[in-house]
Formats: sequence, structure tokens, C-alpha cells
Amino acid sequence: MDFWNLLIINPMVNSLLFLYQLLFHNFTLAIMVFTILVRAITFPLTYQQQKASKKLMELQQSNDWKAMQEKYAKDKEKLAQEQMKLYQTAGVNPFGSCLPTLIQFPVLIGLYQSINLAMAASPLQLFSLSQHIYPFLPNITNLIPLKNHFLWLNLGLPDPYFLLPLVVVATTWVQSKVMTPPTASADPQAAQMSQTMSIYMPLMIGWMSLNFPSGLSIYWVISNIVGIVQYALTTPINWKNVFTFNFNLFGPAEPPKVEKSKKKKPRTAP
Amino acid sequence: MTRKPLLLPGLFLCALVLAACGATTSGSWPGLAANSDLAFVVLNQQLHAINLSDGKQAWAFPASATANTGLFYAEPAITPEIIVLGSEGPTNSHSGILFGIDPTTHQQRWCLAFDKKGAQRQNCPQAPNTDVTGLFGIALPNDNRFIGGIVVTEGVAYFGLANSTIYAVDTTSGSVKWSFKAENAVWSTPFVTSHALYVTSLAHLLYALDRETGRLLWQKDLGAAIAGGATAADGKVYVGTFGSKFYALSAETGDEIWSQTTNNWVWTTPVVHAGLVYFGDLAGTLFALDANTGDQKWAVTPGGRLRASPAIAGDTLYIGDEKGKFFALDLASGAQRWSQEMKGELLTSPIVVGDLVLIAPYKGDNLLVGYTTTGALKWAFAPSK
Repeated sequence: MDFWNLLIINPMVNSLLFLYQLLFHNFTLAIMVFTILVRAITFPLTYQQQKASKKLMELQQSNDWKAMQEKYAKDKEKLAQEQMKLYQTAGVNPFGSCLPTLIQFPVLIGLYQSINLAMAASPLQLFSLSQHIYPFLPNITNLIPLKNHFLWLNLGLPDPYFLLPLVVVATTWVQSKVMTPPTASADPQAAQMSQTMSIYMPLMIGWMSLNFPSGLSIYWVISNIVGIVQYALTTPINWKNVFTFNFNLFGPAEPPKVEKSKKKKPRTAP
Repeated sequence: MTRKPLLLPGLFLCALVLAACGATTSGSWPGLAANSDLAFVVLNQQLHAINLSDGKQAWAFPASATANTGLFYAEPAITPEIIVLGSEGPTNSHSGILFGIDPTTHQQRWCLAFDKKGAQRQNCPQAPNTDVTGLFGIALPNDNRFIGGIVVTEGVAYFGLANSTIYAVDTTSGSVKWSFKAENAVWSTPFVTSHALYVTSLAHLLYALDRETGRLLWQKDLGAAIAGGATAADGKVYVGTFGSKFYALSAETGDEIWSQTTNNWVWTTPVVHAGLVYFGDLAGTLFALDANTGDQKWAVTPGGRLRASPAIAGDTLYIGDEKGKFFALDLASGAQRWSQEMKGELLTSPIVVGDLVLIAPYKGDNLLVGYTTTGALKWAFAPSK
């Protein structure tokens, strides 16, 4: 048994099935509650990541940072040294937002895989599921096959009315705009990259969800909503920015609009 | 660096995430059938007819793997008059089609669709009462995949679909004779007797239907999902469940005659031979029980998990496991006579034709392997890429 299954997939699959048993044999409810629970458990990591990103962003928008960029524009080595000094002085870890993300990523992938596995829509998936169920949990096996109908949806099949894919696109769009506001980076190239991602990612996920089992689309929607709520709990959301559309992907990137921060400027070296 | 190239890593990242999270509901192991001259193996886009003498492909349906006939996993039914084959439609379409193929010309004689898109795609007539409409008359999708195999007896093909409907189809015309709506998906091959049809459903149920009319004779809730098939012999029906139980029921009434507890889920279709019933479970245990009393004659654990059903020829039982190990066991004691190891998972039930044992590994180097009954490799077939 590999560690991925032992530590991530097995606990998740069994928790999901247990929730299904608890929640009146409603798999949609089980997906919703389970997604919210997992996102709540990983919230401290999300919070750390958001805090670190914000701190880094504020530093990169400071006058000291800009002055340093101009001063050492032609000496990359010196620039790197000065950047490190500035990070240290301001108490910012440039990789501070990476570690929580790295820890969360497998959990979220595992969550997704567990939902897919629990639906067991094909013989290979069901055969695989049989290896993940804890034998000591009473009556879990008897829950199979899970009831996969909810409203007009068959959770193992795509939504025939395309409503769910639309909601997937909308929530993915909002989440990506919330997470990467225009002020996220002072670097025009990085800003361009963020902008590209915030448009293509929702469209691609929306296109995929046309073929996804709708149970997975429900996971995407709930996960996106929880992500937005979690962000809103820690950072005020500028909804005006969220609904600003800029499709000029192939032209020159506009310089990012820098918001005037009302908060105290980060400490800089004297 | 221009900004345009930044799109590439962005799109690559998107594609990577989506590939990691992508989901498909297609997917099963090969389906296998044989007559005295040919083996028929299906996996993905084609049915391959393989000469038993040399392991070379005689023909394939469709002739090209690029034809849009869908994905084939369910074991086909082979008769001298017709070959009946079911597809699950293109990937994720769940739009299965039943094909009647002429064994001489290898061409399609008729086809039958179970939804509008399948009928349009393949230009087939649509089975009656298969349109499910919802709000504003929009067609709701149905899971019309063929997962279980097909049985043909006296000119009628019997099968169940993942949409939970069991059909009897005339093999001359391809028209529906009767249909029966079960609860939940049917993933197993029906067992047909002179007057009845025994079919399992994932919804914990075993059905006995009148073979002529499709009328429900009885149904029995066995408390756990049933993905393997049932076998009827000497007035009893034998079936294993995911509740780690194995049952013998009265073929007439469905009443329980005896039951035995197994070590894990039972997915194999039992084989009844000379007063004993043989089956395996997902713990890897192979059981030989007295068919009348359920008393254990012997039980062995030859290797890994047993999904495929055993095959019996002479005094030898043949069975393959999930790890790619194939065993020939003494029928009387379960003692190992020989074994072979091959790449892939042996999830498809083997078939013995004369002195040849046919094995279809899943994810192996070969799609079909022929061993002699003494354990010597005779040939191996892999479709050309």
C-alpha cells in the first residue's frame, strides 16, 4: 500500500462514505459537507499563505523596492542580494506562501480523487474502491452503489441543462479574480500571466465540466465558494476589481494599477 | 521576453491541473469469448477475432480502430449465425449501441441504439421507450453503457445495461422483444435457462424473469451490491455479493437454501461442476463448496485478489489474479499444478477451448495469450499500433 493511498485517499474515501451514511444517503450533501470540512481543516494553511502573499505584495509595491529595482537594474547579482536584505529587514519570507500551498495541494487533489473514486462509475473504479474501504467500518460496503441522483442530476453524468458548467465557470472566475487582484504583482509580465490564467482557467474547467460527472462539478463549485469565503474572511474583497473584464491578452500588458494601501507601510531599512 | 510566450506556461499549467483532475467514467477490462476456431476479445475501439491455431488476427470489427463505433468492454455473444456485441459509446458519452455482426462477412447486419444521440451517430433505430425527457423537453442523459456481457439463446440476445434495463432482442432483426426495468445498474451477464433469466443488479437484487415475456418471477434483496453474475444449476441459483456472502437460492422461489461467509467481496460468477460450486473473492480466496449443502470442500489462496471467474476443463481449474499470475489447480484438492506470471492484471475470466487456455490480461503487453493446458505458451496476440 503506497503512502498516497494510506494517508490521503483511504481516510478521505471512508470519511466520504461515512458522511453519506450520516447524511440520509444523499451523496450531494456528502460531497458538500466533506469539501467544506476539508477546506476548513486546511484553512490555517490557506490563511498563512494569504498572509505571506499579502506581505510580499506590499513589500514589492513599496518605494524602497522600486528604488532598489531602478538602482540595480543592470546588476542582477547585486539586485538579488539587496532583495534578500530587504526581505530580511521587512521580515518577509519570499517563499512563505509556497509551503502552505505545497501542503494543501495534495490534500485538494486527494479530495477530488476520493469523490471520483467513491462514485465508482466504472468497473475499474469500483474494483479500485474495494481496496480503499476500511473493513472495520460497519455497513460501509452495503452503501454501494451510492445513490447518484440529485434534483435533475445524475451525479455520474454531465448536467444536461449546462447549468452546473456555467456555475463552475462563474465561481472559478470569481475565485481567480479574488485571489489575484490587479495589484497582486508589480511585474507586468506576472500581471499578464495572472490575467491569462484568470480567463483561461475558468473556461477550461467549464469546458471540462461539460463532460465531467456532475458530482465532480458540484465539488468544484463548493470548493470555489469556500475558497472565496475564506479569502473574504481574511482580506477585504474589492468586488469592483473582480468584475473588471480585460480580454486584451495578446497585446502589451497595462502597468498594474497600484491601490493606495490604507494600512501601515512595511518596515524598511533605514 | 515578449508577453505572448507567457501564455504557453499558463496554458500548460491549466492543462496539467485539468489532466491531473480529469475524470472519465469509461473503463473496464477486456471482454472475451470463443468458438472452436476463433477467440473474440474486445477492448476499447475494436473486437478482434483471433485464430486459435496461430494467434493471428483473422479480422476485426470495426476494421479500423479509428471508426466511431464506441468503446467495447462487454463480452460478446458468439453463435454460428450472428455475433452480438455491445459498445458503451464514445468516451464519456454513455451512449451504448448493440451491434449484430455477420460472422462470415464480418460486417454489421443491424444495430440498435438506446438514446437519440446514439441513433443519430450510428444511424441505428432506437429501442422503444428509451427517451427520457426533463424540463422544456430536453433529453436527460441516461447511462446506456454495456458493462455486462450478452447471452444469445435460440435467436434471442439477453443483456442488461448500466441504465438498469434488461433487454431481450431478436438477433435476426435487431428488434426489442421485451424489456424489464430493474433497480440500479446491471453490470453482469444474465444466466439463461430453458424458462428463466437470472440477472443481478448493483442495487443488491437478484431477479428471475420469465424468458419469453420478461415478466418478473421473483426478486431477492441480498443486502449488498452484486456486480458478478448468477449461475443456475439443479434447481438452485448461486450468487456472491459485496457483503462478503455467497448464497444458494431456490431457482423457483428465490428462497435462501444456504449461505456462506467469504473473506471479502465476491465479484466472480460462480462455476458449478460435478456437485461443487467454485468462486473466488477479492481477498484472493478460491472456494470449492458443496452445491447442495454449502459445506466447504476446500479453499485456497493461490495469489492476489480474484475478480475473474474460474474456468474448468477435465480435472483442472484455471484462474487468474489481479497481479498477473495465472494458476492451474487440481479440481479435487485445489493444489497447484502449474502457474504462469504475465504483465498486466487478470480481471477477465479465462476460457478453455480444447487444449488451449485463453487469457486476456488488462494493461499487459498482449491482449490475448494462449497457453496449452500443460502450461506452455502457444502464442500471444497484441493488436498492431
